Amino acid sequence: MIFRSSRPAGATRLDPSHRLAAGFVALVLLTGSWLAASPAAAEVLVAGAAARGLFGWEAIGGYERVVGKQLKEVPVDFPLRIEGHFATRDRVTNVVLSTYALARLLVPGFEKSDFNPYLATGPGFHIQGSYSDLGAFGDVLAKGEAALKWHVLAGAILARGARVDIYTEGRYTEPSPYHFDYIALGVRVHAADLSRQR
Amino acid sequence: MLPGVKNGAWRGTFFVGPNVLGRLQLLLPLLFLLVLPLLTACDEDVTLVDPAPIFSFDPENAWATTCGPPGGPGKIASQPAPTPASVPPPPGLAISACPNPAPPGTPEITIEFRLDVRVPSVNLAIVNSSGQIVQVLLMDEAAPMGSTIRASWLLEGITPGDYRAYFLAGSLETSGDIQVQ
Repeated sequence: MIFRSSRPAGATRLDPSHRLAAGFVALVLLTGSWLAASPAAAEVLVAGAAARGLFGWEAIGGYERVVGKQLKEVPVDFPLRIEGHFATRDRVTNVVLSTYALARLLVPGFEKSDFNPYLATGPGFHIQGSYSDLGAFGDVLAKGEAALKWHVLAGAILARGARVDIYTEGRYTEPSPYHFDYIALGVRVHAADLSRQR
Repeated sequence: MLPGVKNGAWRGTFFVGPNVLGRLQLLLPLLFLLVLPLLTACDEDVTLVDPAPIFSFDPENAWATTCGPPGGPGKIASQPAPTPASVPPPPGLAISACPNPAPPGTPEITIEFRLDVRVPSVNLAIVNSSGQIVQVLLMDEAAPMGSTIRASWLLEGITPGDYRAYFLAGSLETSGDIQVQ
């Protein structure tokens, strides 16, 4: 009689962790190099989001630097952002590492206000990993994949502080079954700008 | 000097000087244009807020479809020959799921099994392709050796898609793909 493992192809315990780990390292090195090379101020993002889909929520942590200064005539700048997303429910955990190259339009007319709406768009590359522990049902499932998407972000600084801003942001993703996929509320912490200290 | 590159600012960086940095800034808008065609090859099904699909229905990973008649006692042959495209269960276990795939309007999927070995208890659960347990059919249930046991998965309110049934009885462990159409 043939004995067959209960774990069919495509649902092995470690698959595809090696590819995922390699992709993660490459992404962090590339993005980190670029971010470290940029001379502008950095911001650390911490947020919670109401998200579409299975979980209904996400925790978000990110790091953003603006490459170069705002254009002279148009209130547009170019943030680069690396972002981690985490959600869990019913023994299923989802982690996404995202990088964005954005063009951000700062809506005119709010320059002297603490409320600063903006629109941003650009590509994002995502490495997604999910993990499920079936416990008493005898298996641990893991799966990862990479995706390239186009995004439109609409957000606003709701309150501006010397070191910390409160912000909100919604994300529209294309192509995706959930086009408008989350709205986040959190804080932006202004990190030290090393280039200005030299 | 390029916008945003202050005099001496580049010295704080580890990898590039001002010229390279300037080129990076100029490349950013080009990156946007280069990425656009790549998006046409993207997988629309990948959501960034749902778990990656852990499996999809594969007939070779489905159990046999040799259940007994509905409403009557299940009749599984002592070791039913699996259908050509089905996963053989481990020795000591005969198991089947019917109907599979389940056509639209199917009220329930019946999972029948018989153990030819003694086991402390039996667990049976249905997992969706995101890895979420959607229904526990049996949890630490006693399963007398040699008797046929039937568990029904009611499909009312179940979203069509790919599922997997996980069966665990002592050291006997198997899973079978199920599709709800």
